[in-house]
Amino acid sequence: MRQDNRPIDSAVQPCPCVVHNFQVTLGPAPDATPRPAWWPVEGSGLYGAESLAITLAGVDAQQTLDGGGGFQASAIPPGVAQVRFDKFYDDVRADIAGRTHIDTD
Amino acid sequence: MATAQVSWKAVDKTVSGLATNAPHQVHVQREAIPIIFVPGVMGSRLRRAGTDGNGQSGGLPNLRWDPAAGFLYKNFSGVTPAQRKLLLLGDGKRYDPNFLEVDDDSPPGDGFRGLMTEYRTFLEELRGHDWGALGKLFVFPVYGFGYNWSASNRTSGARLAQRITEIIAEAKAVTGACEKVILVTHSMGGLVARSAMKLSGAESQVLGVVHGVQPAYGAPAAYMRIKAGFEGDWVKGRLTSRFLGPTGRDVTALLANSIGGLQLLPGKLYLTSKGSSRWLQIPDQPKGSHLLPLRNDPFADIYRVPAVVNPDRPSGPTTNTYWGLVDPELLTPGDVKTKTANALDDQSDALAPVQAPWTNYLSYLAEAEAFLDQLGTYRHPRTWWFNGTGLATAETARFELGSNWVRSDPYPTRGFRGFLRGADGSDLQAVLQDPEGDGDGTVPAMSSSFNGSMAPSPAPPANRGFDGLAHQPAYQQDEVKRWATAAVTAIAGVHFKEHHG
Repeated sequence: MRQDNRPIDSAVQPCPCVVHNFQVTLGPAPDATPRPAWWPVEGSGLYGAESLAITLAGVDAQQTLDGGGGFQASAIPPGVAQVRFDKFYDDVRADIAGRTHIDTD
Repeated sequence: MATAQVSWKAVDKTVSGLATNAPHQVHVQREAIPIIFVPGVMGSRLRRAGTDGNGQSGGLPNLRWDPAAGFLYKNFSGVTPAQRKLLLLGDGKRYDPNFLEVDDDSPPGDGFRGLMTEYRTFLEELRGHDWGALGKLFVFPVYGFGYNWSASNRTSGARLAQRITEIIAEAKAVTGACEKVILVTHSMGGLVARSAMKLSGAESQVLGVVHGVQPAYGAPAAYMRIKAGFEGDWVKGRLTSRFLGPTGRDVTALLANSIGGLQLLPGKLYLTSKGSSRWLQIPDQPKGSHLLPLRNDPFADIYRVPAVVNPDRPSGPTTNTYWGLVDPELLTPGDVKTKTANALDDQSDALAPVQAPWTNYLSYLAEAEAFLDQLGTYRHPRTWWFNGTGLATAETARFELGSNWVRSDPYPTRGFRGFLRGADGSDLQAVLQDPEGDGDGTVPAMSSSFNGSMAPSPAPPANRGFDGLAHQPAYQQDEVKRWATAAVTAIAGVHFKEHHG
């Protein structure tokens, strides 16, 4: 909490510190060349609701991508962040187990 | 906008150095895993090579084979063996694998046009399948691979290997990552796929295989069709038989004058459910029977033995080999004699009037034998397969003796009878019996589940027998379609677990 001696009725002064935003999205890489007409048609394909381990302003946090496959933070100190989609494969493993139950002899 | 691209194998690795005040995109480079469907015998549409499949040339349609009812009714209903041979094999002295080609687009695109329409439903469903979370990692384009099924499966396998390379290059250009394909096969398509992998070096480009109702070690139905024509029950089956070849004359003219069909015969690894390699039962005189082949070699003991089906009537008993696979006289159908007695009772005489066609046939047979020998028990390490059970299937072939003074046609519709004179001087006929055994109506369960002799197969990743599943429409059954799709998913799942167990 900043403190100063300005009168209470004086104009609000902008915060002298610099703040930034941060935004990241996760999705499939776009096709490098046009997809043949007979290939499967896909939607936007952004990966929503993925778990995200993020280190931002030196603080570790566990977040979740929104439904559009994005995460954003505002009013953060400038710097660099790092992200890790730490549970990206969990639903793949679960899905494979569910979809490949093959009755065998 | 800053973009970081990561392989699907490394999405859970830390992406660092992301500056604030700039939007970032993390792009997952997915791997394309093309699925290539390889149809069964007669499941590819064929045209006269060098044409576009439309119109006619020399009074014959340029489209030579399409298993659609309208085409078959128009072009194959009631045709003679000679006409049937002319349509599909031409009038050359020797078999020409380049006489026909797949009636496909150029370039072939998805290849669906080259396949019979009955496969379309399964392939369209596969193309539109929701792969769930696997779709985050992989893209599954679906292709068909038509081939000239009259040619050696070695030739078709080489072309499949080439097509696999082309498809991988095409897919890699789209997604940036594609290393291998998944093959899904029907019947003879299994031989083509195994040939591509083993004999044309494509195994390293194949992630896994799903085989359906494959005659892995052959099927006595191929023997029975050459002897007695295509089988067919009820109205639909009889119509199919009428189109494909209702008599031994029709089928011999086709299958014994080309190579692909001969590779469906039981090979040296074929085994009955009783564990015997002897699948052909011949009645003896005056009673009893013996079994062939004697030494696990049906090529020497059955297929190279000229069939003498209607010998003269000597005073003594005959030992004519009516059970040999091919009647030399039927190889040149335009010269088929109309009289029922062929006046031949030994092999040298039998060869005399038709030496060239018989010599040609032996050369086709030699390629069939070499192909099956080289293919052996090979299968891809990741092989899933399904087979049909519960339908009467020619696991063996058996003749029964009866009296016959008339000596009618040895090649009636859907039947065969060889004539002989018995030990007591009586005139007899040996009648080929209806199919007996377990399978899908065409391929015995033993063969389609890789249960062959001499070289036991290793434990498979997964296999399934479907009770009551018929051979030809196998991929039209909902349960089979679900199983095959699950098997494809399982193969992709194995690929995933290699990197993220």
